[in-house]
Amino acid sequence: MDNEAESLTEDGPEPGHGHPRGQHGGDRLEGILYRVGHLLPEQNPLEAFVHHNTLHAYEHLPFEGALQAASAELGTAAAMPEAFTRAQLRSGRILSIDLDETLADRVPDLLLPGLQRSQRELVRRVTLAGLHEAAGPTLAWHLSESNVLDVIAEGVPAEARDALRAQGPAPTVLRALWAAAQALPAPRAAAPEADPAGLRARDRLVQAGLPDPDPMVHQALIRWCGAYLDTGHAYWPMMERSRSFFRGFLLHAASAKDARAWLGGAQSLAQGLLHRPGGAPTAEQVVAEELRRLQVAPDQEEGFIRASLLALRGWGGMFHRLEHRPDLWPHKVAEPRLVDLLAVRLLLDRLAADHLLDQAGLEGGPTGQRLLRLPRLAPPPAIDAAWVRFQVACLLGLSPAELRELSGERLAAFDAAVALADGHHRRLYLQEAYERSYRRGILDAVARHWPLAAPTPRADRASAQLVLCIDDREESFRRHLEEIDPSLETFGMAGFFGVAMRYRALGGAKSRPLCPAPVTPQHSVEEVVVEDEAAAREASAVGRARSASVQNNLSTARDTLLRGSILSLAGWLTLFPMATALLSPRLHAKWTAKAAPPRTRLKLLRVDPEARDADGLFRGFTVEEMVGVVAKALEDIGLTTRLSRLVVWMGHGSHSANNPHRAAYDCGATGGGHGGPNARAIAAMANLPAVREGLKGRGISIPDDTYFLGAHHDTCDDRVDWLDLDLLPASHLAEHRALVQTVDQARARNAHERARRFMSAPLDLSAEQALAHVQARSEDLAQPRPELGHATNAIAIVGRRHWSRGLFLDRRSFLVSYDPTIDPEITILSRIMAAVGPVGAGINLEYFFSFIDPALYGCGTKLPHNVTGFLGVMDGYSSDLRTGLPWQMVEIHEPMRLLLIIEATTEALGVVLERHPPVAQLVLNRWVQVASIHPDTGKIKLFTGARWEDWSPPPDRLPEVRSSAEWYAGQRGHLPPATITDGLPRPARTR
Amino acid sequence: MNALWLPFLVALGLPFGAWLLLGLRLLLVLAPPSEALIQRLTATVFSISTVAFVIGVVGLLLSGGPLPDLPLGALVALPRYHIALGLHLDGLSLGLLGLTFPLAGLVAAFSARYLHREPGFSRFFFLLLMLAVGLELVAAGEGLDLLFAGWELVGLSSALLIAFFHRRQQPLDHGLRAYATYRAVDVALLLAVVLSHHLVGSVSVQQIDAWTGGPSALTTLIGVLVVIGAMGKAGSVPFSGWVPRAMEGPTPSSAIFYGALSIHLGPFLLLRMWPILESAPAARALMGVVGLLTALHGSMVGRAQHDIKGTLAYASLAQVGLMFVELSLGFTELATWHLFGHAVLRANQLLRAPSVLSERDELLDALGTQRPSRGQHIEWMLPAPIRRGLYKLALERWYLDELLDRGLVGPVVRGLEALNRLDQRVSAALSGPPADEEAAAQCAAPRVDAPVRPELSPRAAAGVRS
Repeated sequence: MDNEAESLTEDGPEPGHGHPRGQHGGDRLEGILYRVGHLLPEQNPLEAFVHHNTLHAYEHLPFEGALQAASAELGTAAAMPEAFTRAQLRSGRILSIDLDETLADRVPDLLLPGLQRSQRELVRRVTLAGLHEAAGPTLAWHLSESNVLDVIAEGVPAEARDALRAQGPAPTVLRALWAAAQALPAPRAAAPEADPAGLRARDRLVQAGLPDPDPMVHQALIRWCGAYLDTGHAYWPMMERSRSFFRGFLLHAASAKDARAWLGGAQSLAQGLLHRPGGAPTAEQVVAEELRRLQVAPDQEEGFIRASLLALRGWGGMFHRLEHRPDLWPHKVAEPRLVDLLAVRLLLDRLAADHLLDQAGLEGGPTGQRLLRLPRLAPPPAIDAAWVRFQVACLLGLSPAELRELSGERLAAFDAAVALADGHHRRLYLQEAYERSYRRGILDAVARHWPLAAPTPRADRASAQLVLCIDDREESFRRHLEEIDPSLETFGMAGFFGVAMRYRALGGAKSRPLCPAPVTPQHSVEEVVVEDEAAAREASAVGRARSASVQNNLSTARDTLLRGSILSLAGWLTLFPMATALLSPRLHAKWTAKAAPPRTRLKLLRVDPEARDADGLFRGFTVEEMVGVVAKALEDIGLTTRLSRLVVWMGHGSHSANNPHRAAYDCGATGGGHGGPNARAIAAMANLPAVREGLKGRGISIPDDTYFLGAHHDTCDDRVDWLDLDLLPASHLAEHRALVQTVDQARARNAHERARRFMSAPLDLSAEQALAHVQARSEDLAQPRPELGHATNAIAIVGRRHWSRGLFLDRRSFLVSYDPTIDPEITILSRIMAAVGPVGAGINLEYFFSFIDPALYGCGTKLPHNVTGFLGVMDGYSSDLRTGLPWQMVEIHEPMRLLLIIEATTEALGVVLERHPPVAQLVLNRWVQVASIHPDTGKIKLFTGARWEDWSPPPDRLPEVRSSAEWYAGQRGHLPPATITDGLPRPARTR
Repeated sequence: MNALWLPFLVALGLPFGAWLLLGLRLLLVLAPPSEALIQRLTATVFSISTVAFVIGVVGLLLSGGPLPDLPLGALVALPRYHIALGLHLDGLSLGLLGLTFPLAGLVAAFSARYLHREPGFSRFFFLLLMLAVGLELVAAGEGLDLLFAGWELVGLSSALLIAFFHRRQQPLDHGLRAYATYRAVDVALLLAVVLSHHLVGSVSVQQIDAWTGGPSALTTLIGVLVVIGAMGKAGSVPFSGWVPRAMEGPTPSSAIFYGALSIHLGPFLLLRMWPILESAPAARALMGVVGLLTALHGSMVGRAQHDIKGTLAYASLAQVGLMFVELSLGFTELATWHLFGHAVLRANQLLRAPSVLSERDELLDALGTQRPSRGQHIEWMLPAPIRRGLYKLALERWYLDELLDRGLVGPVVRGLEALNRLDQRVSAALSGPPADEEAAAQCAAPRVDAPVRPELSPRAAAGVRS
């Protein structure tokens, strides 16, 4: 009774007062939008670009099922096209043993009744040869115009070929086979298609052969979406943006008549809605009304809404993203809600459909009924079964008689085997074989390299220790450092080094988070000028602001008439800078370089534990917090003993010119920022005597002569900046000087190794020339590939460095330092995996998806991109917001799931999976591949989804070369692993 | 031949030769030439052309005198009708050439890196060279006939570059739109050329320059036609819709066509025909009105654009509109400076269009604010519904394309359809009843996809059958 009364008072006034949760199941709409919203691309505004799994919404499904489900719902590719994988088969990138192993796992080895061949053999032959899938007129043309019935197809294996030839001349046999195949009973027809009532109006129009209304709806809708979300590009911003998109749109639509024929009714429609007696309806109500008008059955609403929103998925995704993460706005200008976009879209869809129906002469009645009166064109014919059976018979070398005798259950078994080799399955097999072949090479290499490794003796002290990001681009840099100075040690740690902060650079207009995307920073850190330079700085700030306001006027002049005309009279003057920028980017960069910034410090220490800034974040860190940060970082990488005199934390980032996607090249662990400030922060923390005192309490004793230094590595032009160098004590100058020499040499070598992948860099460059080349690349306005980012990433190695040191991994591996010997409770591994698993998988999968479907998962070629609203890019004049990675970034990628090789026992890994369900989901659903390498024995076990399988490598040794350069010299393509003897640790001999 | 011509011939001849060479190579050999080869070819051609051009100009300055025309023979030579082919260089053409060689060279250098590994690399450079050749003809053609030929080459290369990404539908539609706009206004230009023959007796640039006939009905007609011809390339109201649509191509092609060169051919043509236009007040008035409207349109619509390339497209056409106004007032010198300065500036801005994000960040950091200041408008004086209406008008680009489609294209298409029906009826009446049922069905079948396409006449159809 009480409940009822309550519900009455709560729900009573709703229907009459236009509350969103009306009778028509507002909650249900909310639920639908919640689910559909997650299917839309989850991309941030460009400047806050963070790599993530494109199919994050499907992670609860096993990988293959997820791809198939996504393909069905999103209309995207589910695997690489056969042409790609088959080319890999021809080039030897996939070996036939890989395909055999794949099929052994997937296709039962049943004998096909009456054919003396196994199901697996049939599938194998079809997968190797491929099928020509045609029907109807295409097939008829093929039969009459080509020689398929005269000559045995190329892909037919020799044995089958002989069998066919033995029966007589090829044309006779093939024709007899074809006749036999045609004579077989047709397979059962597929289930009839679903009721078209769930389709969008657009689908029904297209099925009836009428024009597609989407292009015209989109052209109108994109303008308003762009205007509504524009964060400051337009000189004249859209009005009414504080209101919802729906209401803003209606107000504008009602203000004037539209000249477009199909939108002729828009004004009266909008006015009718705005002035409806009883109050203007909400977006939710309008959606419900439109669903009714189109007679969408309740159980088909979700599919209908999904299809409607996916038609313009990029813009929808941005609405959804900014609705739920308003903190991602560069600055907030509007209140986007997905439901508003849907309501506007459905209104426009209806106007367009009505217009087209009128034109087609189908007048009168509500839209939904008129749509149902439309004829449906016949669907394209299904693949011809007889034609497929004929080809399979050829591949098996069957005789016409054998084929003719297939009937009843035998035929069903034959067809079932053929179904296991249809296009979808073939792509899956080949894709897996592709992945398997690479995995084999890597696991063999790791296992064979293991015996060469020797952990550094505990007593020995390295010449220097550098902690870099786990990023695959630092793999080569670390390798070269170790090759140049074998007594040097490197470590890999997520490049924010555990310092999660909101950072405001000197003179920065706003602060930005520097930590992985899922982490919300609790601390803010500001960069300030050293006091003695503050006065000078003050003066220059005034000058800067003044020149900036001139600059603002100039950039406004781009868009305005009078200022623009004055500017263009002097436009001649830009010819020379333009010429130098295009012809010699390096020179231009040198000439236009800004004056050196003043000396600065980070404001790190917080004395008052409750001091907060305007956003409610703690201003800096207390000593206790610093101790926690440093202790965790040192434990994570296993650097709790044997610290050398100089320990460098080196963050990374990337800078490039004319590149809207530049944030995608930055450090993912800092949420698409530069890791320099984090490196600087942790170095400063670890140098504080109070912090070192606190660390002792945690059992970490830092030698008094150890000094921590921060640095920043630019992965694009391979430059390294040393941070807070003015604080370096005189006692460490010599070490630093030596280290700088090593690092400088490593930068050049790293640039050299990178340059081999750039077609525009000749293979015979010297290391110094290569460095100049990558520098020019980063400054070049015309360069769509300033660097290649994470392309080719495929592996993540988690463990002590000594066993992966000296192993050439071709910049394809994330390298995470972890010492299982100091982690009996598996707490360290747990927290490493909780961070590295999703981040590594996110990067890897975004590249994977952008590669397999550059049109829908990726954003296609960069060349026509047009930055809109400072939020994203469109193709040319106007298009959906393009999300994902541009083709130029993924071009040389190999689409494979990340292979995690973790130095831990399988039991330890089991514990990790138990503790972290998100990681378990990634692993158990096979979004990543996992191998365990035993800390004591180096035995590898591979997780196959059901169990851990022992990996037995071949007995021979890996190829050995002196240096990396020797291994990659003259090579442009992907390279297999090798042992680099210069890079192997040689502690006793060198010191 | 005057020796002063030699460097100019080198400068003009090299791009032409390279264009022919690349075209033949693409035509005859299936595999496209290597990127490096094309890069070297264009780099060499444009740098030599630029240097030779500078040498030529210096030589010309030193010699002090004007350069006599260089005849190249005749296209048509009849007793009372003569179309001469030749080259003519004066200050105006030198200005355009002085812009063409370095800018085309810079854009080629940019594109060689920007289009690296893009399918269609060689096609792009072929079209870029075609543009250069077209511009040479426009600039240095001795007669309006050559100018017209160059004009067409520029138009064709422009349309094909808009449709560069031909695997998507939109670029194709927009390339076609630009092409159709060009073709429509080119009719006016062609008529103007023919009428100029009548007026001046020839269409040689020199004779037009020397022409002092004074106003007449014919000058007015020619003037109006020339202005219409210029409006298409310049993207003037009401033909401005294609300019933002032209941003479908790769960034550098947008830069050289709609920032730098192609869009300025409008004012260039007006300057070229200035002696006649000067004596055509009606044409000048039209020029002024069109220019003013275009400037207003570009400025108003451009302000509401939220994408960088759209903004730049409207800014471009607004400035070109101003040039029309300047010309209509007789400020030819100002218009010339405006034209060349604007071309360089805008090309630069378009090439840097992808930088808009980082430039904005630097600006905001320097200003120390999170949002840039925006101009205050007088709009606060207007009531909100009117403001909304104006904003909508700007965002929807004054509906110019739709109005053009309905007001101009629609009637023309309907007229042609009516003509087609008439033609069918007449030919049916002349040839009697169809020979057999099948042919009748053939010719009676409605063609939904191409209503304008002429049908086979029953007799022809029967002929084909038998």
